[in-house]
Amino acid sequence: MKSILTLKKLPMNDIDDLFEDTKKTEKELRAFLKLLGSQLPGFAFRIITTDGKSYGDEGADMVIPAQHKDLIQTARNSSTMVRVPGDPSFSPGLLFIPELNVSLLLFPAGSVIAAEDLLTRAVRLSVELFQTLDNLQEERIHIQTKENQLNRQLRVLQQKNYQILEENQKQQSDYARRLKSEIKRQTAELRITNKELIKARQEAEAASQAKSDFLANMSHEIRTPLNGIIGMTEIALDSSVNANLKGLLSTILTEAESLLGLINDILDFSKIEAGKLELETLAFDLREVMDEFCEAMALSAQMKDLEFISYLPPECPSRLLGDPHRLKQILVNLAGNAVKFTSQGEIKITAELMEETPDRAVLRFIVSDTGIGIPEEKQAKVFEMFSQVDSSTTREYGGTGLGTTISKQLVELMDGKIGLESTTGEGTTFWFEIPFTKQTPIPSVRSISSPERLQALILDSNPTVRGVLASYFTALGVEAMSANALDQAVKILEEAHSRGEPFPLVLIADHYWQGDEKKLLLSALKTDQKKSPLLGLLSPKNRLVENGADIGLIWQQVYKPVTLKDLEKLIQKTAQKQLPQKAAIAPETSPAISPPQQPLQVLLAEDYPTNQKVALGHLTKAGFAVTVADNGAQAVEACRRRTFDLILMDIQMPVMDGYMATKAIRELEKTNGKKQTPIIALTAHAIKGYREHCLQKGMDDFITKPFKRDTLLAIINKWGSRPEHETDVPHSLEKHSREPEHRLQAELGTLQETGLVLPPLLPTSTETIDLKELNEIWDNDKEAIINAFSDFFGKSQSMLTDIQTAITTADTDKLDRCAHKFKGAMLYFAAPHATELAYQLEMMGKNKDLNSAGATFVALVRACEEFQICARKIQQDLGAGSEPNETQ
Amino acid sequence: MATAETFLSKFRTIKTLPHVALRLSKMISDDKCSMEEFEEIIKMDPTLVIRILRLVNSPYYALREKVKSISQALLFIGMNNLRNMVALEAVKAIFRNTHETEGFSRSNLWLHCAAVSICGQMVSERIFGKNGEDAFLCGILHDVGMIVEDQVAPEIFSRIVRDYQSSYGSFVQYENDVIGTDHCKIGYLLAQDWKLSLEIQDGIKRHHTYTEAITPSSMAGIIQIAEYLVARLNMTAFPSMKYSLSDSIKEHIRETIEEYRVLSNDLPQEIARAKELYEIDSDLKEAAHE
Repeated sequence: MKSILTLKKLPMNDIDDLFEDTKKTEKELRAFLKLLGSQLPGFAFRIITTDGKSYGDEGADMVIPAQHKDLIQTARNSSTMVRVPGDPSFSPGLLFIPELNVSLLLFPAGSVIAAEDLLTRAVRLSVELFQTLDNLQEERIHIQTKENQLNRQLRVLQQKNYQILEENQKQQSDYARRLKSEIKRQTAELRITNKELIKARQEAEAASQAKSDFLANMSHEIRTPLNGIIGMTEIALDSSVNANLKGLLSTILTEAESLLGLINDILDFSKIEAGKLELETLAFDLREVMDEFCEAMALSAQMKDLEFISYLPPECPSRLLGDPHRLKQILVNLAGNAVKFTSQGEIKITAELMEETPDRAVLRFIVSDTGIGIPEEKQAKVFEMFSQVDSSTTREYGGTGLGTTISKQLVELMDGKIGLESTTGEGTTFWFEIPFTKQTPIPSVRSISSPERLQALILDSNPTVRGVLASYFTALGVEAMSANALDQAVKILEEAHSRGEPFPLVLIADHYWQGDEKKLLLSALKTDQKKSPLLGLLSPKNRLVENGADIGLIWQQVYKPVTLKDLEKLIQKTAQKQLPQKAAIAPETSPAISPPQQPLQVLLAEDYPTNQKVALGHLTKAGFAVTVADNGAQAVEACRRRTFDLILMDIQMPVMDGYMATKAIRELEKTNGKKQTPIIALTAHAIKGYREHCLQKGMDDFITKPFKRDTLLAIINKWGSRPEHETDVPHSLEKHSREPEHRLQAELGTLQETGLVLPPLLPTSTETIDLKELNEIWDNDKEAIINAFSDFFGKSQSMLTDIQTAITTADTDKLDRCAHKFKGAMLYFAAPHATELAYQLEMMGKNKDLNSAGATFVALVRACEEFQICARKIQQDLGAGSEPNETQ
Repeated sequence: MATAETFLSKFRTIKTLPHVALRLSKMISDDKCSMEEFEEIIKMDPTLVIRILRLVNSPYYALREKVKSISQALLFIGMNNLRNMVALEAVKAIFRNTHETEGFSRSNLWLHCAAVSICGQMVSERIFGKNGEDAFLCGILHDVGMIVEDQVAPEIFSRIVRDYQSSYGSFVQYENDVIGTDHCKIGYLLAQDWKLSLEIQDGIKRHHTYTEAITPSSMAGIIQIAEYLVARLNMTAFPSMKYSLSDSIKEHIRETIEEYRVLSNDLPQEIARAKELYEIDSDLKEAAHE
């Protein structure tokens, strides 16, 4: 590259170089003259420029004569002074000054004569001085100029700076403005997003709500037909004589009940999850709740030969406010698990009073077992959803593991806490604590006013049982002694006798009541003929103590777990017995439902056929006369015609619902001055406040569907006291005789009357499948038969569904095809009834006449069910070991 | 003007300003262009950003802090200066030496333009006390017409340059005689094309107009003065190029000769200080890299 720093000045040819114009001005020359004057006084000076101009002192002497003009050139070439010829004493000197490009004439003024060279030197020095001064001046101007330029540039820079500042400010304000609008925009966007989010949340909530609702509704919907299954199965169980079938039916019942339990669990769970489970606050008696629960629970434990003990300390406040149903549910869940996981030993349900204030009580419930236990590392997971100790447990013991989860949720809903302690192989103890509010009017303390102090003896090998009984006796003011072995008991009895104070009440565990032990005890008890005690035989519910009514003692079977109330009754009885009386009374039977002498008149208003059938089955079997109404209007009409002892009223019915019907019936009663008939609502809604609602609507009580026989009969027992005036003799077909031999007949009659098509539910023989023909068809190949059945079981449902679809879509060709296929299968299995029905359907398809296809299809489904039951039995008989157990 | 148009239209088909520079040239003409937009456009070309930052950080601006971003550069040297840097960088590209002929080289022309722009800014600010940024831009672009000529008709142009002698009269007259137009007209049209300010357009159009009375402080005046001063440093467009001055400007210089002495004294130093602005070397290396 060509460096620009090595600059050479080139002559400017085309224009004058403006910068080279260095000619001295007159002004400058005059300034030089002035300087000479001051430096060399006594001399006169005149400057002659190259272009002939001259400046300086005037005078005749100051002119170069014309003839000497060449002197100027001479001087120019000489460095010394040149004398101008003339008067030698006065002749001026001429000196060229190259620095200024001028010639200088100098002339001595007056008589001063100076040496020429000295003078020259002086002039040269003056020139130097002048030049220095001139340069200084020039430099000063230069500096001044530069200063001016730099000042101008500075001002420009300042302006630029302002401009930049202005720009920056503008940018800043722009930025601020944009920021503001951006914020505004984003805020708006955010607002929209928020709105959308809220909407999305609402939608999600709605969806979740819909799901919960769906789950709840589904569970509920499933319960209704399930109830039908349970009900019908119960009826079938009662009606069936075939032991084999009974076994099958019991399995169905058990399975259906566990399915119901599971659905109930799911329903509860979904309610809790959705936060929809509302706890009730009811006044209840804890002791009653515990007793009821134990009564229900004990049997399952006792079936497994487990000791079932419940203990609520007598001093424990029992009249509380809370949700007894949910409390019971927790207890059932935990106790159910205890029973499930325990194969020997005992199940113990106790309550403890943890804290008490005048209006509150915190109770701890403890459910302990001697079962398999829970490994420590799994204990924390017990309350998690769907967890059992391990998946193999699920297989071995069944269940979903929802029970503990629900229990925990329920306890927490009740502001309580729950926990467990367990040792593998030794057992598990679940506990939970719940704070209750006590009922305000503190009830009178339970006290038994026995006329005289009673003594009681307890003989039981289980120390817990003895302890519980002793504690109850003490609370009841009875002095109790206990013995843990036979000889000890005998000894105590003998001692008491010898003291002359025999025990008026003796409780003996039933396992002592056999063989020699029984004899020993009997003799010890009967030592005193006049004063023999009241004997209570303690036994599980499922064991009947021998029916020896002639043991010569007044005795009574007392079911375990023994409650405070049981003992109370015993004491009362003992006290009565103390009075003189006859011997030997019959043992008191368990408080079964005893039908009244005259059949109770019940009106059943229910539209759902299965419910109708179930209720009808239960009621007629229990000996009640039942009138069926399909809707509210029919119910009112029935009431107008006659009087009932009790009305079971469904709420949701076509034509006229339960509320309206109740209202109408109440008005009717008022008009006729009749006594109010108890009306029991049958409701599908087990929700809080429903009872109040029903009561408000003029009903007396309600039961929740699906109802079980016991529930139904219990409520009828509660309300259905036989009115004294009513003596109607049953005469209508709607009424059902209570005679057992007519029961089924009557039932069927009613069912037919109500227009229901009900083919015989169960085959009375194995005619469903012609075994002989079957064997002929299959040439006695057992394995082939078994496999063919299994194969068919796998396909039957879809085959039936195909037929159903064909009917519902009125696709006659399809019906023809499918029914034909089904018929073929049935032919091969030698099932004449099912074959016939399938053939009928096939013909309907061929004839394109579906008028009675629905009914035939229902019949076919029934027939197919029968067929399957029969087939399974045949499979079993043929020795299909791998088939799942059909009976327990 | 017709011939100039022809040249220009041919030029357009061959050589266009880089995309970014084109956008920027529009932005430059648009007063309402915000700093923000300006910055955005520069940022579109990362190479440009690097070059601009290098210029801004060069001794020419003598900033105390190192500028690291375009927005910072805007803050320190202002929008007009930055615009000049962008234009400089954009134009520099078309001055890149494609061929060297006897008597003419684009890189020499570029040095001349750079020197004129620096000198023009000095004259504007130091003599007339007014913002010299437009003068700088006009200086950069005043001879762009020659590039067009060289691009469109390289042989003719190199012949003109080789054959021209001051005895033929002015170079512009000679251009007109030979090719029917001159670099001032072509440059003027291009400036119109780029929508440069009217003042800059006029500066380009009349920078060789010596016969009219030109106001010394006008853009054409300033460019004439700057070319005259730069020529004294032997930085002509090409070696045989001769410059003159309008009489009005000669008069002005004579009257304020001291001013021009001072300025002329400082000029070499200023040019040296702005080395980074007109150095093409590094750019060529960069181009080789690309």
